[in-house]
Amino acid sequence: MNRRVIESVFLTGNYRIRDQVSTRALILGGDKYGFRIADLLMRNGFEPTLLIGPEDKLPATSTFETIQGAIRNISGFIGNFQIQIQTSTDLRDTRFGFIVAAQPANRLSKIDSFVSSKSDKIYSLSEFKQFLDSGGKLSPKEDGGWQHVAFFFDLKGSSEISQFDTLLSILDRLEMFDQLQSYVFTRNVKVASAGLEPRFRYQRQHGVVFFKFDQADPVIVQNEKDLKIEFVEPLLKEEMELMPDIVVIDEILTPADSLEPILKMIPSSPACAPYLQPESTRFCGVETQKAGIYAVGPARGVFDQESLNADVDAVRVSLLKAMRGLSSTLYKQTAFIDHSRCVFCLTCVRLCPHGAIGFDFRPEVDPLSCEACGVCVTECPMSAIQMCCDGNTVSSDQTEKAPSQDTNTGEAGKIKLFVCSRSGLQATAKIGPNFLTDVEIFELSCAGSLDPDFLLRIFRAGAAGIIVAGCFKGNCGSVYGSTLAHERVVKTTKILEHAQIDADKLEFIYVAGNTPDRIVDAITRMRKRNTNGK
Amino acid sequence: MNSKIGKNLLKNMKKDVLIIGGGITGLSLCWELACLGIESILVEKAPYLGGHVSQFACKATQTCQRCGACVLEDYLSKLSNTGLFELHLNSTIGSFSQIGKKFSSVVSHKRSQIINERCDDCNLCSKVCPVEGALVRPSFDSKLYISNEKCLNSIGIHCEACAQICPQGAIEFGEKTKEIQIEASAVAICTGFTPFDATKKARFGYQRIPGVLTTLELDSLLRTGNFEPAAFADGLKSVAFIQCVGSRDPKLGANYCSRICCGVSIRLARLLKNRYPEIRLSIFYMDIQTFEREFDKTLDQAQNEITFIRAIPSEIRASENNRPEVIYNGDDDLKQITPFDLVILSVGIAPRDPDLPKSFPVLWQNRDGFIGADENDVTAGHPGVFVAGAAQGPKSIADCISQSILAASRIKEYLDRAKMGEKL
Repeated sequence: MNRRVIESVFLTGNYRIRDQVSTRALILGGDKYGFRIADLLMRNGFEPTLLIGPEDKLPATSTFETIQGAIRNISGFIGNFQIQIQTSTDLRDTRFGFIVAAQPANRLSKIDSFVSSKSDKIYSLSEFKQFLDSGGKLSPKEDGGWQHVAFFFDLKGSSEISQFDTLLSILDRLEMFDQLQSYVFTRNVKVASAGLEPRFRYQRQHGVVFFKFDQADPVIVQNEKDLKIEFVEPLLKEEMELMPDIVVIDEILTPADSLEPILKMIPSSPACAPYLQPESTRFCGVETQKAGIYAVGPARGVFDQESLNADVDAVRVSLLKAMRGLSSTLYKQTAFIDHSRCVFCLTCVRLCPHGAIGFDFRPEVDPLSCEACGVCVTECPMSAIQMCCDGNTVSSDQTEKAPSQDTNTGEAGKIKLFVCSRSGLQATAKIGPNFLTDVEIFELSCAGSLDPDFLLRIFRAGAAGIIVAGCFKGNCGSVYGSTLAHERVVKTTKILEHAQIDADKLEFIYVAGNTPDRIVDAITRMRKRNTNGK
Repeated sequence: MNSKIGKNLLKNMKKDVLIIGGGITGLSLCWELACLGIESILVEKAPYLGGHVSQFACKATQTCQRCGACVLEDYLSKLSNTGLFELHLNSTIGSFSQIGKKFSSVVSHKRSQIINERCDDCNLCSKVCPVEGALVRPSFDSKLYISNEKCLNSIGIHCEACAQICPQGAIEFGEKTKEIQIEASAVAICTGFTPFDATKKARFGYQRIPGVLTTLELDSLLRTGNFEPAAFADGLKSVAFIQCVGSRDPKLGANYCSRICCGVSIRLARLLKNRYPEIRLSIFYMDIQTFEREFDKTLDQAQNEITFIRAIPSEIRASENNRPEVIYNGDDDLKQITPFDLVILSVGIAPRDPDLPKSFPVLWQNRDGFIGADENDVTAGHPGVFVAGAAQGPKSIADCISQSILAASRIKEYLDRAKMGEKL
């Protein structure tokens, strides 16, 4: 991992044996969604605290606690996060059970990419909305001429659908001004949300001119006094000019900067930064790869109002689900560290995709955050970690054995198929058993727990071939588990080549739960190789 | 005397929520409810679970394209370990009534006739079956089912051809329908969508010109492994995708954007390019909609592989050698005619008749003709009845799942309140 992560909170982590789970939830966010989440959690038996930025307004009346400040430091795990909050007056340490990141989006202005200096005739979309909200009027010109308002949308970088929603509502409002003509310069009109298409159609039929550009963007030329837009009319391919009175340029929406302290505590976050949630359809709700941390709206790359409304409820569902999990004593596999072997290299701390291992005088696994992916088990250079059902009850003679050293290498002469429980296992279940008579299946909780030593031992025991099936890149539930497995297979192949053993008997394939054909193909290839070899 | 048995029976049939529809929305809703400790009954019309998604191919090239089709397998395997729901396949809602806050309904089971455990997939039955499409295989990797809509026995004609030939004795004809009385406190409608019928847009020549397919057909061909470029006379060299077929078209009653088609076409096109790099790909479009975050990156990569043409063709006609020819307004406003080997119509999402009994409460219909309110809301217009997924409006797989989480939250709230009311 990179340096940033090493320097982060793990070394100051504050792991304690969980005695009690805190029902306090820290909600980051200064707009209405933060308030709504706090209110909803309040009604569901949680103790929400709303943390708003120094510029946000404190709510007039509320039943929940509101703090104005910023997070300095976070450590800990679900049910027991230690959070240091800097307010204008003091620095306080508080214990929370859950963290909900619901900050409003960061709006990056696109104005700089069109003009070098911003004149007072150029507004960003949110500035112009504010101007109208505060009662700003566009009165007709003194000489009785028309006013021209030009909107730039989706140019120089894709825009979000929610921005088009805002644009349409501004156009609705501009209708009440006389002698005003609006123009929209855009690449694509974004109507993929409820009700936008009829609203767009209405504006087009009521006089708003839409220009859609394919390649050349319009250019803004600034003179001392005047603004001029030069463009090639996309249909007629003719050069045209427009002298607008106002130019409104849309913005790029990104997650809030204040996510940084949370991102720092999840080792796999560089794969999805600046967002808090990996971009995978495995994450459709607000859950992130670390238990107890939830991403709402912009924090997970969702900006439209409808999805934000759904996210508010999803927080409630996720927290209720988490509480059920916390209170149950279900059989669950977690990683367990044998401290007599540990040499404090902190490989596990830096590599756990789920941020489930913290450091407090020694590395400790949080059993509630552990997803049993097994990445740490394989990566530990001292073989000090193993998977077991309940870390606290493992007797010492069980840990004496070198962990994960599966002694069962299976039958000789068979093709060994390693599948991930999240993809390959489901795909293999769809293949008829008749096809798999010479195949032995090894289930891995995640491809990331693949042990290269075990692969070599299997070869020594006389395998007809080994196929490792991991999830496609970007679809691994443990973010980089399948990538690690691929790397290990490549390394093992090199070792085999060096030892002059048929390296093509080891193959890595990418699969998903609905691609049994890829597994069938790989097995067929392996069989062909074996028969040709003989 | 019989009270004990009666009680047990009643207990079995009484659940908190009745979910109508076993597609991705119904399944994810079932899972979310189970996670909250709420029991549900899932009623699915087809003999298998998964709905449309079970026909979709994985669109990963070397990396995942986030189409979400494999998430279905996740839900199926997760749910198979949950005891908190009851499943009725091959079933429809027969009658419906409401007493106070309790709904009671009759679920009629059409008897599924292939016993999966005994079936060894020899496929002899499909060879003797006199009706085409009566034996269905939702995807090549799945098991064989008897479609109760097409089987002769279900229309009252006696036929036992398949049962007689089956060497495993896996096909059984029992009673035609079995009715089960169920009771629930809330109902969730997850009946999904119907794809736009491309024959309504006659000038695109669907089902008239060979080589004109819909995105769903291509998707299903890819899933079943039946997509063979070699089958084309001169090989498959060029493929065109036509966007907005049955979306953004008020004349066809679809004054809305179907929201998923841009993503579907671009993913399918990139998958084809990855498998057959020599193919020339074009997408005819009005506007490309953002379908995932950091969209610029996706679009840049797509533009390297695909030609984007901003025009919706006026007509597709058959050329002399019976290949589809696309006629459109090209550069400089001139009529252009381009032949393609394959033209894929990116069909939109249309509302589907949920096929509910007449006694079912009247539900809202939103502006686009789907069930429920105009916003992303799960209320369906009657207390205790909820709607989620593509039944409420066009949605991607990810959005369907997000909405079923919303529905789970609202259903929990409703049930909690109903319980409080009872105590008072």
